[in-house]
Amino acid sequence: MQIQVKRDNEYVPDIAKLVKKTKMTEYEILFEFVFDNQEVRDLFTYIPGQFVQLSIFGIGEAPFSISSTPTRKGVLQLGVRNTGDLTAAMHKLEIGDKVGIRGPYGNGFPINKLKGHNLLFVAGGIGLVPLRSVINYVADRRDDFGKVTILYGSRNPEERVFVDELEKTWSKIPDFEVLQTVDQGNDTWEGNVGVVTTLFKKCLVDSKESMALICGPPVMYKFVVRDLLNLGFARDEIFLSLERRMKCGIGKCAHCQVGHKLTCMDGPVFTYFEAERLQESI
Amino acid sequence: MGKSGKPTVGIFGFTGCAGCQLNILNLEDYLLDILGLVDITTWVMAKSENSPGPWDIAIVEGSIAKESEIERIKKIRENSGLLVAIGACATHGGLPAMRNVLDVEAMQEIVYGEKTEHLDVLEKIMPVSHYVKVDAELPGCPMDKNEFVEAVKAIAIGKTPFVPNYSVCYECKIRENACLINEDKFCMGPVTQAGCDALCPTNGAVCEGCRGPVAQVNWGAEFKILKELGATPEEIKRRFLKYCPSTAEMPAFKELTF
Amino acid sequence: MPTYTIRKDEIPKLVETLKEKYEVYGPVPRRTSHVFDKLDDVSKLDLDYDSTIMSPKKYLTPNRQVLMRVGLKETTLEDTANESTMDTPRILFGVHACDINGILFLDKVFGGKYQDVYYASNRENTTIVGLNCISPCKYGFCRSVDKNYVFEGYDLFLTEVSDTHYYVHVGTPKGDRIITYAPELFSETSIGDNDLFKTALRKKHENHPDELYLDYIHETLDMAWDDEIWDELGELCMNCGSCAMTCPTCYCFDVEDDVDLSLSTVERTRKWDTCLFHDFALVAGNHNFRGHPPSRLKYRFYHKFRAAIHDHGEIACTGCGRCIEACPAGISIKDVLHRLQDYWASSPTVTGG
Repeated sequence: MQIQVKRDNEYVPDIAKLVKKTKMTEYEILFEFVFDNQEVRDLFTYIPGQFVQLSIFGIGEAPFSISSTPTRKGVLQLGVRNTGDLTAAMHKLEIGDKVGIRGPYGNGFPINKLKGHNLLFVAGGIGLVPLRSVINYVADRRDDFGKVTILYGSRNPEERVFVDELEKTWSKIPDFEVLQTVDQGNDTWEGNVGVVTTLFKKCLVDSKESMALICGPPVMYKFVVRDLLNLGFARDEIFLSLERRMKCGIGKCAHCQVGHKLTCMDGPVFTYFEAERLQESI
Repeated sequence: MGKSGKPTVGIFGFTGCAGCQLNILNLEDYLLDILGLVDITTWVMAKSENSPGPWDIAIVEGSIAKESEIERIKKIRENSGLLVAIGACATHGGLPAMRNVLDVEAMQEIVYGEKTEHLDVLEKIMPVSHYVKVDAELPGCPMDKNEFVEAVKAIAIGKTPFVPNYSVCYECKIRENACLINEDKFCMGPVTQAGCDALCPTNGAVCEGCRGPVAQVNWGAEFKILKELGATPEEIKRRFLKYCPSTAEMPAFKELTF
Repeated sequence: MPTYTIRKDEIPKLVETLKEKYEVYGPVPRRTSHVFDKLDDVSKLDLDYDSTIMSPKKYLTPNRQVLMRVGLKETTLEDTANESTMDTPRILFGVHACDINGILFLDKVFGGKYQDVYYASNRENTTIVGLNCISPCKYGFCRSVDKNYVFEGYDLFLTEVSDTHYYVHVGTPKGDRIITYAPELFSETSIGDNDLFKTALRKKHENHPDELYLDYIHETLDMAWDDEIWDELGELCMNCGSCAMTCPTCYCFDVEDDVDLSLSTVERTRKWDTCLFHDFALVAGNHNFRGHPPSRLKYRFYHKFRAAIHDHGEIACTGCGRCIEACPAGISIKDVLHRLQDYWASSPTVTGG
């Protein structure tokens, strides 16, 4: 049972301050926020895979996956690409600037189900943002999980996010394997070139005792799932995190309806078994 | 930025009736507040001293009807940060462009007699976006005052001005009007971009389509409706193009057979 | 159980009395139709109305609802949720069963795990006087979707039992309060009144046709996902949203930050939205999950008759017929449902029936 900050009005966010801003790529920044209110700070916790609704007052509000792990208390990080009015305004934030944050919302990844299993992470582009939450959770609770394989695909080397963690942290953890690929290399890139599914041949993925967690652009899911099924993963051992437009995050505005379910309430994490039954999901 | 640290604004008129500029002047309730946000450095209609530019924001009214106007709009574009087109003439050609389907020379003769060499006339009257990049468009004949104020605020706070992606019907239904099409009237509401708060239908008059086609417009469906109500294809075509002749260039429009 | 009768010609007097304590809203004529409006002039109240352009949802989840006010300089938040409870309480007078069912559906949407405090406070502040439809309205098909009656959701409920009288059911203490404010206008019912009431119900049953069979609607919609019906309807539909605006169960909304001209205060406001609009499912990076217009029309049906069952245990249609009346393209939800019904019924393996 998750303890959550109790709000009288679920639409009114808590005020948080930007405390750290780390540029990851030309278009992506990792933001770190701290709530103003001490009580909120103490009570705020979440499950990897959940999201928050972030407000820049005057511009608007949108959902963002949480990129940090609840095992590191007091840290709330969001990795954000600059693509619209709100994210552009976020990128202009300075340390100490105030935003509104409410949540966490959504189901998150089923941590208890994942325990005791080998985990295969398949991420495309900024799909690594929500998966990083689980990966660091697993790193911090290493004994609870089996072998970890991280497959990361990006358009080109410059657009990769969390490169330091991929190359310097995760790859050094015992029984962690990290493989990267890019669609298009550059002069200094000596690694794999090709879509993320080409990495399946380059590592030993055993579907026995394993579960797969996927997040990436919409086009990626079909191909990754197809290969995972061929590798012998069962439909309910494959977890996908979906992205949809949201206005409320709490099952009211209906923008995130996918098939007959709501991404904000029933998701954003779905098993492939569920996703296969949701029209237009992947 | 101007001397006051506020963004500088130039307001310019091209071929049209100047009614949209007048609409800005008529914003009595807001004008002082707007002047608190921006510094209008150029506005020939309302000021005696006018800056030659550059401007953070250029607001352009009217269609491009003359060779000399092409040069002028290009120059304004070069000297501006954002360029906002206001009113049907600037966004869709407007009423002046109705003559695009007629014989220009014959019309010149009717109006000016035989001596027409001094006229600097383009064969087709086009909206501003035909010649230069436009950052935001506020359509309508005239442009809607509220929409103008909202756009000013949006730009000032750093948002893209809101463009309704839905048709007049949305606003018409919210104002609880019985549907005029169901009263057998040739209403353009379903295919026209909202933003006017359904002014005409609320007052019992059909939507004339002055705000141009809505996103992903379904011309075919409206065509069928008007035809079933007894409009002739020629009548329907005129209705579709009346305020927004530039829509004739849209692929979806070209697919129609009148 | 105490029930009452009230003379029809005493209704204006009742409304006048209630206006001392409430703001009273009811159906009044507008052009060729009716709308729910404030009864400043009681003589405008027309309880013989067919239907209204908009359902009374506009009072419970209004098109523009300010969610909060934000001071930009110091980042101060002011919750506006309780502003409507401070208003004078409201009576909606003469609400048909379809619309009460619509409100019951909205209760589920805005309730649940996360309470919507704006809706809840509007709802709390509203007293509903229902009105039985002995005869169906022009476009309605409420009995076909099982929404022609209510057994909850009203505070007071009127049934016309004769040319001169309404039979009055009291649903809640809120409704009982109305009786106590004007006791002289209500008489306790007699056995004769009960007989008249039964006769009225029989008449109602005979008048309302039961034309649709929706038992397999959710399976049908799944099977018909790729059917040509959607492209056919897509040719007619202009995605104007008239159906959704007038629908008593459509609740989708958008939220925007309205800033004042001094750029110092923001009103975060929600306004009605619909899945028919182009950017409804548009996400960052310009990926549109329902970019093709017919897919949005299809989705509206799918949400109403498939997703709503998953989310709230019932279809999101009250058979009020407003969307049929409002559609400029003449699309009838009833006809579409008939076609979908034919979809599975036409299968060669389905026999008998």
